[in-house]
Amino acid sequence: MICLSKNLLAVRTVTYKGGPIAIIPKCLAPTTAKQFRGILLLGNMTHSVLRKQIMSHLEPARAPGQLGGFHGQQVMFGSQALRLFCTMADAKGVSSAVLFLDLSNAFHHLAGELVTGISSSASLDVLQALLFTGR
Amino acid sequence: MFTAKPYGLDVRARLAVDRLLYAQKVFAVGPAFLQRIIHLEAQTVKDSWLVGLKADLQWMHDVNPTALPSGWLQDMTPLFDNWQSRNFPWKAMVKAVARKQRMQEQMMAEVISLHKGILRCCVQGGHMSPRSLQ
Repeated sequence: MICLSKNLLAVRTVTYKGGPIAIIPKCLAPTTAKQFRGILLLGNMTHSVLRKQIMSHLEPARAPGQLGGFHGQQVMFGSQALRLFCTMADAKGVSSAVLFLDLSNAFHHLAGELVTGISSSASLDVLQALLFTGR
Repeated sequence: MFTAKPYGLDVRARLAVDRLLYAQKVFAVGPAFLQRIIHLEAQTVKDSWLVGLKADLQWMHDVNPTALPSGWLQDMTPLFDNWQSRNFPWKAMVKAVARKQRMQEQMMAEVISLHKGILRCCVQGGHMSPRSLQ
C-alpha cells in the first residue's frame, strides 16, 4: 500500500533511507568519531525498484547529456566532456566555467512526474522563476 | 634455482589498458557530443586525449602487431567500427596484450637476474674483476 500510494501519487509516504554506511574521514589521520562522516550508499529502495521497470521507456526520450542510470553510460563520460571543454577553452585562451547543480533526488522526482503526470506546483514555480526571470 | 618474483604491469601499461578499455566504451555506447568534443579537442590541443589514445594503441601494436587493423594510425574508422561491433572481443584482446607484455617484462627481469648471478660466480671464482658487477 505504501509503495502503491508513493508510485501513483508521487508522494513519499514513508521515508526509508537504509543501506550500507560508508565511513569517510574528514581529516588526515582521524582518531575520534566526530572526525568521520557517515554516508549511506543506498538511497530510496522503492524508487530504485520503480526505476528499473521504466528505464526502457525513458531510454528513447532521454536528453543527450542525460547519462545517469542508463545502460552502458558512465559518469566518466560527462566528466571527460567537461574536462575536454575546459582544456579547449584554456588552449584558446578563453575563460570557461562549469555550473554544477547537485539536485537532491532529481532523477527520482523526474521519473515519478513522467509516470504519474503529477508534478509539484511549488517546484515548477521555482523553475519558471529561475528560467524566465533569472531570480 | 632461480624463481621469478610476481611481476605486475608497470604504470604506463596499466594506464594504457584502462584507457583502451574506456575508449572502446566511449566510441561504442558513449554520447555523440562526447565523441565530437574528443575530435574537436584533437584539432585544438597538441597533447589531446586522442593523441594519448593513439600512443596506447601504438603500445598495443608494439606488443602484438596483429591486434589492430592495418592502417589504424592513418584512419581509425575500421577500429571504431570494430569497437561498435557487439561481438568484437576487445576486452580479451587488451587483456591478452597486457599479459604478453607482463610476461616479456618478467622474462627480461629473470634474464638480468641470471646474468648478475653468473657474473657473481665468475668474480667469486677469480675469473673476473669485481668491477664487472658494477
